[in-house]
Amino acid sequence: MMGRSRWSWFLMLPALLWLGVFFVVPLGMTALAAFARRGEPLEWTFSMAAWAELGRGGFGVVARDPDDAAAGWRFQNEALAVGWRTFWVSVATTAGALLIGFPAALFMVRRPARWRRVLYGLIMLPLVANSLILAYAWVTLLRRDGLVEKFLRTLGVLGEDGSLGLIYTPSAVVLGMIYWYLPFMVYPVYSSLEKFDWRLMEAAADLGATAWQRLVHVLWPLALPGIMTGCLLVFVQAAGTLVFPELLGGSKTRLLGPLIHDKFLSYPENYPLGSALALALMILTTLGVWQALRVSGERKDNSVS
Amino acid sequence: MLLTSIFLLVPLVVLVVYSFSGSRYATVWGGFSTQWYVRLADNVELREALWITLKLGGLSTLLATVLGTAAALGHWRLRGGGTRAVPTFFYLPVMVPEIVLGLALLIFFTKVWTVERGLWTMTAGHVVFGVCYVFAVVSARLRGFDGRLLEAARDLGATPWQAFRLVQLPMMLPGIVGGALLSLALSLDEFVISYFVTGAGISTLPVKIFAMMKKGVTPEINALATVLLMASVLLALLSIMVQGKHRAD
Repeated sequence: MMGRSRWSWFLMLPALLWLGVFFVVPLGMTALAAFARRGEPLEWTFSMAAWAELGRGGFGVVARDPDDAAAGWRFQNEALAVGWRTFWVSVATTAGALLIGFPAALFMVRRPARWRRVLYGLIMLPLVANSLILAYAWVTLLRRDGLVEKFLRTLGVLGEDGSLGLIYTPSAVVLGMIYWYLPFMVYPVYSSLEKFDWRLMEAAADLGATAWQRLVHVLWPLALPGIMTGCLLVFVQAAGTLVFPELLGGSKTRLLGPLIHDKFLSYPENYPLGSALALALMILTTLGVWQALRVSGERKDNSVS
Repeated sequence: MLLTSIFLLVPLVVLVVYSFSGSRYATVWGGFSTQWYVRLADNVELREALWITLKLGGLSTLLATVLGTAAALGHWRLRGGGTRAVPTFFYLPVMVPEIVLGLALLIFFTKVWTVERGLWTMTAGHVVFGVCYVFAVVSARLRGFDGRLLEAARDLGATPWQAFRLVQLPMMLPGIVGGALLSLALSLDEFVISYFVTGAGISTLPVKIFAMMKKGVTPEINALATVLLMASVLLALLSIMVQGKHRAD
């Protein structure tokens, strides 16, 4: 069937070409740009300047406050500090989304079908809006003299001039991102729970398992593929986000996304350094993907044996 | 679950309520007023941005739908003949962080293929993710299609083109429409890639909104957000109704 095969590839060709030209080539160029010389804005001459700049300060850690050990430590290297903060903000977002999303999915899947559809719509509601608009909604709530502070003042919990300093912190960014990425967690978890055979829980109960044991040893392992997919989706997107740190993080909460943005779109541009940071981001997210695939792969092996 | 519902609804409700506030400040209630909606309707820059957003959405959706559908059909025709790599390849752009896609295209359009950035460069970027979603949705639809139906049509005297047009295409149609709608919705909302590859003075609505938000918090943004929110909810309901109707058929 040589003819059919040739026709088939011919049908795929335009799409493959488009992705080749506007996806593969640009990504390749980004990898090259990380080893190019900084120019106006970029010169195709080999240079390790970007990496030297990234590594400036070494990879050691120093005490935040030499006189106070409890103040903790920080990375001496700027990029590493930002990368580390990005990693933790993404992990916190993923954990938060799981903490809210897993019980929500569990609750939903046990309701009658009609109820389920309403709840499902509610969870997916943020998705129909734009992430910019949702981040903005949180700004109006969390900002200084914003609605949360006003509400607490009316209750008398907060003094007339008191401020909680909610916005422009890593927590504000995490909160906004949990809100936006929650559907990406609930959807796969819900799908895997939907296929779950609830008679297994009854069987476990008959064999004397407590509610907690049933949750940990029966439900959780079988829902793990969905959980892993959800975590992966949230983590990868959170690590590269631009909108939430820009609007809710302020200048004190530097994350990789805004840092990369500045190297390309703020004066003075530094394409090689920005490309190097982008490669670092890709490595960070690939590690996340690899780890998640490994965990779900192990599960598959266990369930076969 | 009740707490989760409150958590999900409060920000949206606040946003909508305060768009009707008479006060100049976004968090001060100044009595009911629709003045911000009037101001919005008079904003020429926003209208221009909306027009660009719609053009970009239409153009990229059209291209993504044609390319993605053809690719899905081609892949189906091969029927798994050593083509596991094809779906993986179409899955890659979705796995790459948006910001990386944006900056990679910026480098490409400034240093490799130097063109004036604007509508066409943004279209190039939007088709990259659009084509992947269309491919995924149409492929899923084709998975259940039995190729012997085409052979049966041929046996009954149909030409290959007739067999495709009268048998396979109608069956693919819900997938094509679904993929196109998804691609359009993503394009209309897309911010990061547009932000990176747009040219001077050309803004899509999300890019414009971002610039407004960076400047400050005003009820005008609340009003704009409310309008967009309502439009999205309507679109979502519409697509649910279209799909529901298909299922009923």
